[in-house]
Amino acid sequence: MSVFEILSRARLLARKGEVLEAEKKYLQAIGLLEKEANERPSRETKAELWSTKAEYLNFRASFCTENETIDDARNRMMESIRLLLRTSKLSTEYEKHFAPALKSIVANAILVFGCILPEDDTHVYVECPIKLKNMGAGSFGFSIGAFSEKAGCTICGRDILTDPSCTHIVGQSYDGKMCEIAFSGFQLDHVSLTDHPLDPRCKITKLTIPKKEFYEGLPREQIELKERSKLPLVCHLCKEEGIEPSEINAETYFRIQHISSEQ
Amino acid sequence: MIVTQVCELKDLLEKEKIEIPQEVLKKNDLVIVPSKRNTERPYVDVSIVPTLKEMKRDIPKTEIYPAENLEYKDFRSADFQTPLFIILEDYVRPIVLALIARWIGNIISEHLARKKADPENKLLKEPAVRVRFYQDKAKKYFEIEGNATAVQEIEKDLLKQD
Repeated sequence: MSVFEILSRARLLARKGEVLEAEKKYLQAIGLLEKEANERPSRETKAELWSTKAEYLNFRASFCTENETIDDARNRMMESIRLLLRTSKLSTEYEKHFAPALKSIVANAILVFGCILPEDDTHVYVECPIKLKNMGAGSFGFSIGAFSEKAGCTICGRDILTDPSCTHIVGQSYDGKMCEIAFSGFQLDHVSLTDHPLDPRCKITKLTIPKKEFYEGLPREQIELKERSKLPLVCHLCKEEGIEPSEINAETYFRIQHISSEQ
Repeated sequence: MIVTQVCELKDLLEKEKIEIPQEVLKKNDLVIVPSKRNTERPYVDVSIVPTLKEMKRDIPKTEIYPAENLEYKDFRSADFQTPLFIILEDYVRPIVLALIARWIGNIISEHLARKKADPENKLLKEPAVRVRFYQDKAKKYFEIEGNATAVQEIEKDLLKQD
């Protein structure tokens, strides 16, 4: 039986719900691909091995056996995303090929398992763009206000507007040198939080919230269970609000949870 | 939004608390009156400086008044405003309006480029623009305010009129 036939069988069994049999087939296929990758190391054999492992881990995250927890399932899903991300980085062709699968698996991971909200002893860190928007932070950006004393001409050095002896025009070339304005004597007037900054990239990308303040908004039972069982703080906003997390790609998925995307 | 008002120049200057000597008005075809910071120091928006320079080139009898202690304002919010243009000779009007229309065109182009680069960004709103000018011969004061595209459209219409 070829690897392709074994994999086809595994997928069929998984679809039928015969998960333990499907797992055996997946592991058999991975064993053969590992052997192949060791004997003939190449980009293609690596891609086949990693993408098959990713498929297996994604399948394996869909159920738990007796002694397994939801954390085990979440970790498998994360490992699956890591492997697929690693495969897609092997070449631009792979990146294009695996992009839809990666997008779908990340969205599925967020909707099923939620995202871990990083925290330390004192603070909770919110970096997810969806959560930030939901908390109102996405509606504001930063803007500065400043005044300059002089608008110097880069050709003659005089003030381009108030000195009548400067006849140069901005954007025109003089003996091969472009006339531009060099503003100087810079005086900062203010930094403001505004809903329409000139540069929309100057937005809030991270909120560091005191833990006490953040926890006050959560049900007491949830906090007690979390602390008793040493569980991570998990955000289920997308699932609860029916949000399609399409703006979260694989890299962002790991970044917002403060988890490495490398194995 | 456009506000048009028929008034004498002296009334407008009085209302705006602007003092311009008669000799400045007599010897020029265009007077550019900067806004004032805290009603004291005159300033112009940094983005319009190259346009004002072009006006000075195309209309030789142009003066910025007051120009002493002039500052250049750089507020990085998406609001832009011109100084007050006092158009003292009719030939000046199409030059001023065309140059302002091009300045607004640049603002719109920059906005569209940012929008293309980051279409999902909700903070990306079309900039607001405020343009003010007075036509001395017609005794008319114009104030146009709104988003850049709307102001540019009004500007273009005015340019077609006498």
